[in-house]
This record gives sequence, C-alpha cells and structure tokens, in this order.
Amino acid sequence: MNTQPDVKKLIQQTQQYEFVDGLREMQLAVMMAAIGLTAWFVFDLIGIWMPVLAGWMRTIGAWTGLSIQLVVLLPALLALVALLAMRFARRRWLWRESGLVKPNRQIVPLRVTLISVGVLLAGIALGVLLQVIFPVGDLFLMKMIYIASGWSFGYTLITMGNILGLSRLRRVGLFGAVVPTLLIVLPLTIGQMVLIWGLIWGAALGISGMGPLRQKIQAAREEPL
Amino acid sequence: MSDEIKELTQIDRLIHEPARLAIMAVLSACQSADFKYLLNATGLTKGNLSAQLSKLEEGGYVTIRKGFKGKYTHTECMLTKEGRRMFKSYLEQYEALVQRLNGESAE
Repeated sequence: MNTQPDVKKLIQQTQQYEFVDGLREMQLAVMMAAIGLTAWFVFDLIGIWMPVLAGWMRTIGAWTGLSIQLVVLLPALLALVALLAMRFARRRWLWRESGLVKPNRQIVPLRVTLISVGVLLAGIALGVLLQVIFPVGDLFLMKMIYIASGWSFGYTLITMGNILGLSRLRRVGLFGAVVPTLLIVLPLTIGQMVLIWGLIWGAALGISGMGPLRQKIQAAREEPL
Repeated sequence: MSDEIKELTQIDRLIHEPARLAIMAVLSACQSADFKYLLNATGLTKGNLSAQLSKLEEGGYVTIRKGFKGKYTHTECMLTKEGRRMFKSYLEQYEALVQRLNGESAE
C-alpha cells in the first residue's frame, strides 16, 4: 500500500458493517412487533388473563400476581433472544469469511440521543395539551406515548441513515414515524392501536432488512467452505 | 524551516504510514475487529497486516487478543485509549495541514 488510503470511506464502511446483513433491522422488527403484541395482550385481553391470575393468587399465593410483570418483559426477552441468534448466525455463517466486527456502543452522537428524547417528550406534551383542549378520551395520552416513541425512534433511524450513508434506514425511519401516526385518528382501542403500530414498525424494519439479508446469504453460499 | 515542513515533521509517523493509517481508520470506527475483517477491509497481505499490527501494538496504539474459536485461532484487534486519542489528533493535524496547503496553492 503506497498511496494514502481513503480514511473516511474505511470508517464509513466499518460503521455500515453492522447493518450489512439486515439482521440488526430484523432484531428491531422482532422487538417492535413484540411490544405491539404485549400491549394488546395486557390492555385488550385483560378479561381473559385477569381471572386466571386472580385464581393463581388465591390458590398458589399472592406472589403469582407478579407473573404479569414477566409479560411486560417479553419484548426485551425476545430482543435478547434475537440478538443472540443474530450473533450466532454471523459467527457461524454470515460473517465467517468477511470477518467479525464489534460496533461502537454509541452509533449516534449524544446530541442525537438527547434530541430523540426531546421529540418523545414533545409528543407527550402535545398529547397532554390535546387531551386538555379537546374531548379525545381518557386513553388518548397513552396512545400518544406510543406514537411519540415512534417519532423518536424514527428520528434516530433517519439520523443513523445520514451518518452511515444508508438510505434504507432513512426510508424506514420516515415511514415508521409518519404512517403509524394516522392510527391516532382511527376508532381503535389502545391495545388494537399499539398492536397495529408494532406490526407496522415490525413489517417496515423486517422488509428493510430482508434485501441485504438475502444478498448476504447468497454471498455466504458462494464462499468456499 | 517553513511552517508547513515543521507541521509535517510533527505528524505521527507511526500512524501516517498508509497501511497503518488504514488499520487505524478501521479500528477507530468500531470497538474491535478481527484479523479477517482487517484483511478484507484494508486489502493488505496477511504478513504485512501482521507486521503493521505488531508495530501499532508496540507503539501502544492497538491491543491484540489471540484466542480460539473452535479449532481455529481468532485474533481480535482494538484501539487503546491512547490509540484513539492519537488517531483523532492525527486526523485534525492532517486536515489542518491539507487545508493550509490547499489555501496557499489557491492564492
């Protein structure tokens, strides 16, 4: 190597590597869909699980009441399982020939994280304001928390797409932030709304990761054993 | 001695060599990368990469961890805190110098 390397290109390529196989988006897709399913279970199926839980608390012990907390932890648990599966697939197959990279813990600068928290808080504040001004119903604020989380997550993805030079992250961030916002005006229960919100996010992220994953699988198949 | 030459002599020679600069650039963008990734990303030969990594390790810029994954050896490389600091300062110094030289040639 005699000429100076393109430092910026090498840095960007290495930062992009975490997203080169689409599995990171798949992992996020699992988490978002699980959030939707969990909220639907907790809010809309309360008539089914509550009597069962009450029965357990009477017959087994009051401590069994804590088991509902486990349901709330389900998205985090599924995200962890998906993360471990992703690492296994990369180590054993997808990244076997191209090499392993541990990404930096903080992909986006602290400023972006702070702005995304600001977006979330602004969305919640807007929800409070609308609830005070208009007769929007008791659960409106709860719905706005999910919608604002989508704005915040979408903003982070768009910024990540800009930093890493990945237009598919910009697209999925924009789509995920805008489209589920329309759910707020539909006559849905909180459980139904969060379920659809989670499934839209999950589908968008899943579709976004599918193309790169297919390409990487193809490349891994063509590599010599 | 002109200012530009003085600045040039102050540039970190350990980083400035093209192969080592490529390695430092890759490692600055992640927590760690393995030998195979560095080979693919930099386009260096195994022998050259190994030699350059050793020099960076001797200089205290890189940490190298050797282990086993199944039956195969696995080498993981990462920048030390000092390595990160020096790479950042190298980039700043180099960019400032390039800008100055560009400015002067435009005049």
